[in-house]
Amino acid sequence: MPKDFAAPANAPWPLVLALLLCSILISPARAVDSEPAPEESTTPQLAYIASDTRIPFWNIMARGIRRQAAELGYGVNIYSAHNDARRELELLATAIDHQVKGLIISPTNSSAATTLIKLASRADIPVIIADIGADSDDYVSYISADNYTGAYQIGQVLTHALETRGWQQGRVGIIAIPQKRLNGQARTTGFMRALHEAGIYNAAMRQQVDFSYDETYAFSRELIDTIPNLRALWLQGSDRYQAALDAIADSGRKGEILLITFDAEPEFLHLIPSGVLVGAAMQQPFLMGEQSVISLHQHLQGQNVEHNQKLPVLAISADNLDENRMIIQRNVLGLETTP
Amino acid sequence: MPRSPTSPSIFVLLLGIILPTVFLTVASSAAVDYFVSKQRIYAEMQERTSRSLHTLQQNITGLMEAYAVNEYEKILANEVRQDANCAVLVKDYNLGKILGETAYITGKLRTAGSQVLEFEPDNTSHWRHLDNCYYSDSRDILNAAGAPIGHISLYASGAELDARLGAIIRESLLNTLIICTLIVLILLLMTRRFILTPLNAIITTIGNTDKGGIPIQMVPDGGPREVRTLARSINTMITSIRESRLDLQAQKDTLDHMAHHDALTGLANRTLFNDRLNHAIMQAVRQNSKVAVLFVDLDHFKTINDSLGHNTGDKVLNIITNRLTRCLRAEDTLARQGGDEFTILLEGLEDSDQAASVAAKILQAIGRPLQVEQTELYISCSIGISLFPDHGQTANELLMQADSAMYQAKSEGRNDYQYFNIELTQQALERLSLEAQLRTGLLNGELIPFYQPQIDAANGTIIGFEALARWQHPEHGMISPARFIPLAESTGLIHQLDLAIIRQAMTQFASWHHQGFNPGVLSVNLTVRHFQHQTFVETLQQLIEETGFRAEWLEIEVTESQLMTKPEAAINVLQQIHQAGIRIALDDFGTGYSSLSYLKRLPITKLKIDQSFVRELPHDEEDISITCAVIALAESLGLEIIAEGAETGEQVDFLLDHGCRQIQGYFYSRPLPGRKAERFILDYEGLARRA
Repeated sequence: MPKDFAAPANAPWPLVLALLLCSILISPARAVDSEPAPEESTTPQLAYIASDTRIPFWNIMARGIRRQAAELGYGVNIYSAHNDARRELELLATAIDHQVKGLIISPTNSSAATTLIKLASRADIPVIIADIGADSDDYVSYISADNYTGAYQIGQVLTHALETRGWQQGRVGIIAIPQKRLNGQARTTGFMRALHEAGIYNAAMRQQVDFSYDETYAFSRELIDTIPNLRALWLQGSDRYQAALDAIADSGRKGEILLITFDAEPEFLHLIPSGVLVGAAMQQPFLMGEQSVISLHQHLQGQNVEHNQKLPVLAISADNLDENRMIIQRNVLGLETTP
Repeated sequence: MPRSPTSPSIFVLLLGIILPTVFLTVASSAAVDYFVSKQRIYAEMQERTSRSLHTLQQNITGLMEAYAVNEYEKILANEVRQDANCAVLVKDYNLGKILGETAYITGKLRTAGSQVLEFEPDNTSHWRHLDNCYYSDSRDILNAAGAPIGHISLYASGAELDARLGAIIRESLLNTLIICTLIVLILLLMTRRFILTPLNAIITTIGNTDKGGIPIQMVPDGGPREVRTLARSINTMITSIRESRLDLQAQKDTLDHMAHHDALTGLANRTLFNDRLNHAIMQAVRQNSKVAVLFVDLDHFKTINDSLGHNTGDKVLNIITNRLTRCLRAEDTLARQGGDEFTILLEGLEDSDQAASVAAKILQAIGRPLQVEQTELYISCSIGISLFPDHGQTANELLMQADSAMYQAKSEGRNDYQYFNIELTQQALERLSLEAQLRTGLLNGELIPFYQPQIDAANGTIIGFEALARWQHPEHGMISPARFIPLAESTGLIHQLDLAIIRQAMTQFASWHHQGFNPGVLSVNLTVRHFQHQTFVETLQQLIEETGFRAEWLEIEVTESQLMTKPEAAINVLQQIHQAGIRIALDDFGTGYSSLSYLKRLPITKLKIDQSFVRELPHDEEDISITCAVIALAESLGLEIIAEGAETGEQVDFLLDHGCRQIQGYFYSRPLPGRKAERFILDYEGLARRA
């Protein structure tokens, strides 16, 4: 799931880190925002159509693609559909017109992916679907994060925290992404399994609609106010973690209710160690971009490629943050020099 | 009742009529239903297709505007999958423009196996699939501004139509089958119940007949009106036939009785007697016994009939029948052969004397005086007896021989019985032979008239001749009239004989007149039997005309006794003869039982005194008295009088002295053949002239 790159507001070093990230991201963002000129005709060309590279997740993935493509000798055109289906189709038409060797698509949605795959298939262009799924399976490979395992593991982090505090009888509230999404279902299932194994019961679930701060705050307060023994909130997204923290604080339950998330923000690197957050399940978009190019390359080389590939989600808590910091910075935050 | 093997029963015929009729009717209805349903389903399909197309249009317009290609393709797939359409095809102008084409063509096909396929514009088989769809409709897809952004075509599959029509056909066929079966069953059951069962009952009843082929029972009166009418008609026919059969049986019994019994006496007739005689002969053979046949003939019964009439004769016969019956055992058979002849069958005789005893008893019973209508009559009989097996082996033989024996008894003086002997058979054969010869003689002209002159004794002139039949047999010479006249009368040849004699005599007289002779009047004897012929007078006139004779030359002689049997009828005929100008003389006058009242009414011109009264003149006082009385009677009635049988001068003189001038007899001449008669005329005229 792409994540919002909203700047943190309450810490100076995260601010520096954010500025650093922005400075890194601005450059590739330019490259994909406009129609790129085809690279040299002798270099085989790839194209990556992202739903919107203005979103950091896709931007990090695009950098992973570019880095791996360069390593394997491909030129790559990065396109951003700006979350517009028409533009997405137009970009696909452009890619087809440029006779690219392969396509990596992070579609605006799984339905649109089907059309993109079909049109690409008509032009005999192999397609790798990255992160966002497709209603069609006529692709070379679908590379996504292992949401279930990640959620299960971060659930274990939470239950461990609750047990440490002797709050096994407490209840857990969930503010979930829409459960009609496969990744939402996988996250919920994995997390619930962890609770079940620990004998901890969830209290209630609220599904996000507009992913706004207000919505997250309202859901958080509602759960806190209506469930007396609520001891934890789990956000299935990371970008509105501040709304949940504010709700806990406003309800006067700060220190009594734990917060844990799926996905990560750069500031999490210090919020977790400081105990503001118990932990976060972190996807690896940079790694996903690299794996996409590798898989496409293998296909073009005539090698067999696994049709569905699930990349691990890192369950990070204060206990393992330091040992995974380098991985987090590269694969999660894309903090690597682009070739 | 015989039944033709090729004729089907009513049941089968009805089945043959009802089944096709019902089938055609229901099938026609099913066909109409099928076509109506087809039209309706087709209209429904059109409407549904149009509605679906409209819905699709509404659903995909926004998606198409939003370039949500897969989303509207899902809708297309769902449409094809759920509504079982043949195909749906969309042309997306927006996406086409992006792709550098006129339109992006996408769609879904539904195969025969209900598999939904992606439409491939480059696949010709997919286009053929579209061509094979049953029905299609299409419309443009417009954006909010009304500009076309696409085009959608919905292809309806004929599968549903075929399936529904197939179901209708199956349903119709099933309904047809069920309805046909039910209707046929109901019709046949009702037909069987209300028509065939009553008809079968009628047929069964009619088939149960007696030996005469008439139904034993009346036909049951049940079922519908027509069958009841038929049954009543048949019952009426049966009743009529039964009544007719009863009538026929009664008539048959009557006829059978008449065929085997005598109408007058009620006795067995010849046929029945012969049957019983045959039966008796067979039984006698088995029992080794004797059978006797008695042939009884009344003596002089003809005289009673002729003088007292047949009514009296019939009464006499009935009295005789009763007397004969009392003489016999119950097991004996008495039959009347005809006329005054009776036959008696005596069975189980041990010897011939028993038959003689019965015959004697009969002679005694018959001989007793008879009282008929205040008149006492005396009658006797002659009986011939034949015995089985002594005198013959068959019924015919026994009857003939008894008959011969009876004639023998008569010839020997009557009032006696006679057993058959071989000589009697010879006489019977002779009699049969004589009859045959008489017939031949008539054909050959062997019967000729002899003429006996009638003389006016006062002046010696010939006043006429009486023609008398004579038989000149080519082998036996002259045969006596006493032999052949009774034979001619008994065989019915007398009519033919009389006419032959009259024709020859007329011819002879006409010839004499033509030669200038005056033979006078021709007297001919006629039996009254001639009067029974309606055309007798015409026959006489025809003979007169054919022979050149004249009516005034002819005189008919009839006997008194014959006239009196049926006087009224005789008077009628004699009147016709008299009116024809023919004279009539009453022959043998005085021998019978003449009624003077009738005598007065008869148109006769002459009385003829029988020779039996003349023979003993002038010595027998009784004959003298009768002769004088007859002459006086003739004078008083104004009739001429002639006497026959005068053989002596005394007799001629006596008659002249008492006023009878016309005399016939041997005194003047015996009956002469034609040539001698002619000579007599010549000679007698000469004598007369000389006198």
